[in-house]
Amino acid sequence: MWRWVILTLAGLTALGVLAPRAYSHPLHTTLTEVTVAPDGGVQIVLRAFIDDFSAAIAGNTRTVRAPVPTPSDTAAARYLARTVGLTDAAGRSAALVVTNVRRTGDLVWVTLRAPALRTVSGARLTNRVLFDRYDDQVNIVQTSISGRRQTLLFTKREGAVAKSI
Amino acid sequence: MSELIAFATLGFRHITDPRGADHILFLLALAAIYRFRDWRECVKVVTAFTVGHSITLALAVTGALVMPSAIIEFLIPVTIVATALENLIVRDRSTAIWGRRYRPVFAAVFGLVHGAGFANYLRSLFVDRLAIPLLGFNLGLEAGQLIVIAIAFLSFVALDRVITVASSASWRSMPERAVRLRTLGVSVLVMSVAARWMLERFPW
Repeated sequence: MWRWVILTLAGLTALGVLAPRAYSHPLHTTLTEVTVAPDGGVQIVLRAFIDDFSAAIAGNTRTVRAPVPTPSDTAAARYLARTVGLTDAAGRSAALVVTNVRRTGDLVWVTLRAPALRTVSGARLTNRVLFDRYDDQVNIVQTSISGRRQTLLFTKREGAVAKSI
Repeated sequence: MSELIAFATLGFRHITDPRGADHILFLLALAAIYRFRDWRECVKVVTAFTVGHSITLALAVTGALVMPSAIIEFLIPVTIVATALENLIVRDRSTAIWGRRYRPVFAAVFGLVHGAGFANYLRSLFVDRLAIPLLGFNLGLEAGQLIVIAIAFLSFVALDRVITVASSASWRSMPERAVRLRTLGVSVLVMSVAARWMLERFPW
């Protein structure tokens, strides 16, 4: 019996040593706030970790220290056009323009604006930012429209699902 | 979805995500010594862990405590190895220092380390409204932990049964031996995984 016990323990130790490389268990999230500006335009402010966001724009597969994107950065605009979408109730896409990019600490804050929608009611949003980098990416979107607040979660598992704001 | 539920979902996903197994391994190491009838003891220890990580999560997210993430990421597997070692070394907890009470204390202390690990990412993102995200995230973590512990308990019961059936007649008459063997196996597995992580994350 003891021989089996020792063999099992040796096997378990080997299994442990051969376990997949350690993950430091980070939370892969971005936080986005959607509000309607006084002129009726929709404002979207996205917060993401600068290293992940810069690497995603650069198309890298590894996290790198890349320069902070600027509003005129076409690569950043192209990336956001691919990953963030806003449609009105009729399904027409709103043109999102990057109007501001700033950095605080580890974060990049990107402001996007869309011209006033005919009606915000029924508008839908997609947010696939960093889905290309992390399978467990969760994008949190907080909307505040006409005094109604709600929180939406976008996950890679769901894919490009558009959600009502 | 309300803000509270959204952040509870985030906390739940975080703790139950098998790709980030460090917190799950710690819970397994904590639960490995208990029999089904000891579930109250186990819940006490897990609750102490929750209290610990809630304290540092709140302190770190509000900026009252700033700890280098490299040190925290190293200390997390250290807590797992220490818990698994304790499982192997201490055979009679009723005669150990502080009797049965010391385990919740060290679970709470180790919880302080894990909380700092959770906080490093949340702090950066949630620079403004903190109360509801923090509360929701913690509730989600707690729910996730209870589910992990429940699954672990069911697996341990099954494992004890397998060990008893597979063992010789002289062992079968002593069910305590199955529990001890299961504790040994789970602790050795958890410890070898965490020891490797400890070496990989060594910050100096």
